[in-house]
Amino acid sequence: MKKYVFRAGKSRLLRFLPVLAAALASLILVNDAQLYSETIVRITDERTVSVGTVLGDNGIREEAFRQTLTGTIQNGGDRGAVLTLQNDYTRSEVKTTRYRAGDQVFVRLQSGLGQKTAVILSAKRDVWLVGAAAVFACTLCLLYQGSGVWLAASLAFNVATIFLMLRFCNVNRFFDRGWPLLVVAFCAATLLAVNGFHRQTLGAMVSTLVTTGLVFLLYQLTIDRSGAVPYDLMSDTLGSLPIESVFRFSVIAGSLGAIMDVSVAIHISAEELAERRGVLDIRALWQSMRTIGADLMGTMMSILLFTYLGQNLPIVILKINSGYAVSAIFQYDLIFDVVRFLLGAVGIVLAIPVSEGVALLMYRGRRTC
Amino acid sequence: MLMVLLALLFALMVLIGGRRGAAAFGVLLLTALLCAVGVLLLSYGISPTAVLAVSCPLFIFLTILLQNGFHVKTFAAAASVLLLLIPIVAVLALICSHAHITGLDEFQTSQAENSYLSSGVQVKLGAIWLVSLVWGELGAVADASVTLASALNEVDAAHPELTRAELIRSGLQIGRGMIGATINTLVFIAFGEAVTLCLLYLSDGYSWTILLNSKSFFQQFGGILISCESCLLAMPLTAACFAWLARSKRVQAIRSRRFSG
Repeated sequence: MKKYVFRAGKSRLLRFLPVLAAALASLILVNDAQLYSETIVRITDERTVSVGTVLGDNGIREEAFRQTLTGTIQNGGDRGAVLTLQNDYTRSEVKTTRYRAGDQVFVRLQSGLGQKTAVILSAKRDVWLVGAAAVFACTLCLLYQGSGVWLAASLAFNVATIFLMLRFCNVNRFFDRGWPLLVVAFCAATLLAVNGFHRQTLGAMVSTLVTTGLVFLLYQLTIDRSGAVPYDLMSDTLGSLPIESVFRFSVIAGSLGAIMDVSVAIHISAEELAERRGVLDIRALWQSMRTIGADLMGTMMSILLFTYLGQNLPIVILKINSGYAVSAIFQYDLIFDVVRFLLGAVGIVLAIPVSEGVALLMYRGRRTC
Repeated sequence: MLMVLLALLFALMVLIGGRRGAAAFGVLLLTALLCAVGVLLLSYGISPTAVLAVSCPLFIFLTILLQNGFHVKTFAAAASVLLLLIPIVAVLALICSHAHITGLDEFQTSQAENSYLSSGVQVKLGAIWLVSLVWGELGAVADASVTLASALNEVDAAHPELTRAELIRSGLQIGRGMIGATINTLVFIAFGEAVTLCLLYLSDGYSWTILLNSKSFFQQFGGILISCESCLLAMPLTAACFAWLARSKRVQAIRSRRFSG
C-alpha cells in the first residue's frame, strides 16, 4: 500500500500535508486566546526591583525580586483592558517564575477598590509545545520524505489512540485488563507504517509482542511481588487511581519502542541472510545476533538511561541540598525510573533471542542446520 | 530485586553480545557513575555550564568511542554529536527561558512542600534543568549518529569509489530507513510517562488545555520532542561528517599506512 501510494504520484501531496497541518495549527495557536475560558494576559512591560534576600531552611540565602508587570487581556468580556500585575520571584526560580514582556499568562481576575487586578496562575506554554511539534513534523516530512510522512502518521495515530482511551475508557478496567490491546494497536500501527506490509514486519510484530509479554512476566515476578517499588509514595499524587497498574503500563509502554527497534533490525537481517544464502541456519543467525546485539545494545540502553534518569535531576539536587541521604533519594525518588530503565534494558536484550527464534520458525521451511 | 534485575541484565548482555556485551555493560555503569558525580558537583554549587562542558565530551567518549572502538565511523559520529551540541544547548536554553519550564513542576512543588524541602540553591534551577535536558538528548543523538555512521561505513567498504556527495546522499537514504526506530524508542518512553501525567490531571478535574499548558507536561513531552528533532538533524550531519572524514586525504593516508603495516 505504501509503495502503491508513492508510485501513484501522491508523494508530494502527502509530504506537504503534515507541513500544512503544522503551519495551520501554529497559526491557530498563536491567536488561540479566544478558545480559552480562562483569562489570558499578554505582558507588555516589566519593571523588576530587588527586595533583599530570603533564607532557605538549609541556611542558603538567595536574592528576592518583585516585578510590576503591565499587560493586556487577550480574551473574554474584558478583552483589550490593561492590567497591572505583581509577581515575586527568587534568583533560583525553584518555586517561582520570572516573567518578561511578550509572555502570555493565565490570570484570575479580582475586582477591588474600583480597580481591576489579577493574580498570575501560570504561564501559557501551548504555543511553544505545538511550535516544537510543528518544527519536528516539518523536518520529518521534508528531510525524510516518504518514510517521514508514514512515521508522522503512525505517531498521530498513537497519540489519538491514547487520547481516545483516556477520554472514553474506564481507567480502572483499562489498566487492569485492557492495556494489552493498546500495546497491540501501538505495535501494529507503528511497524506497519514504518516498515510497510512485509513478512519481516509480521515477524517483528510477533517478536515485539512476545518480548513485551516476557518483560511483563519479569515485572510480575520481580518488581510486583517483591514490593521493591514504594507505591504508597505515589498515592499523594495519584490519589484514587490504580497506581500499580498505571506504573506497570508506563514500564511496558516505555520499553516498547526499543523492543520494536531491535526486533525490526533482527528480522531485516534474517530476511537478508535467507535471501542471500538461500537457507537460514542457526550458526549464521547466532553470528548475526551477536553482531546486531553488540551494535545495538549499548547505545540503545544509553537512550533509556539518559532519558529516564536525567529528568530527576532538579528534585535530586534540591533533596541533597536539603540534607536528604543519597540512599533515601535513590529509594524513594529514583527507584521508579531505575525500574523503568532496568526492565527496558532487559527488554532490549531479550528481544534479540526472541526475534531470532521467531525468524527461525518463520523460515523453517528453508532452514538447514 | 533491583540487584536481581541488574545481574540478569549483565548475564543476558554477556550471553548475547559476548565480550562486546560485557564492555557495553561496563560503559553503562561508568556512564551512570559519571552522572552521579555530575549530580553531586551540581549540588555542591559547581556551575552547570562547567558541568556540561566537562560531562558532555566525557559522555560522548564513553558512549561512542569507548563502546564502539576508535574508527572513522565513531569519530564521525562523535564529531557530529559535538557539532550538534552547541545549537541544541542554545535552543534548549531559549525554550527553557521563554516557556518558563525552569523550576519545579506542579507535582514536584507540592512534593517539595510536603517533604519540607528548602528551595534555597546556589545556582538557578533553570540551568540545572538545561543540564538534565542536554543529558537526555545525548543518548538519543549518540544512538542515531552511531547507527548511521556504522551503516555508512559498510557502504563505504563495499563501494570505495563513491564521492563525498554520493556518500552523503547514501547516508540520507539510509537515514530515511532508520529514523523510525530511533524516534519510536523516544516517543514510547514519552507515552509511558505521558499517560500517567494525563491521568493525574484528568482525574483531578483539570481540562486538556490546562494539561497542555502545564509545566510538568512540557518538561516531560517537550524534552523528548526536542530529542526527536535533534535525532532528525543528527543523521544528515553524521553523513556529512563521515563523508568528509572518509574522503579526507590525511585519513586515507593513515588508513593505507595501517593496511600496508
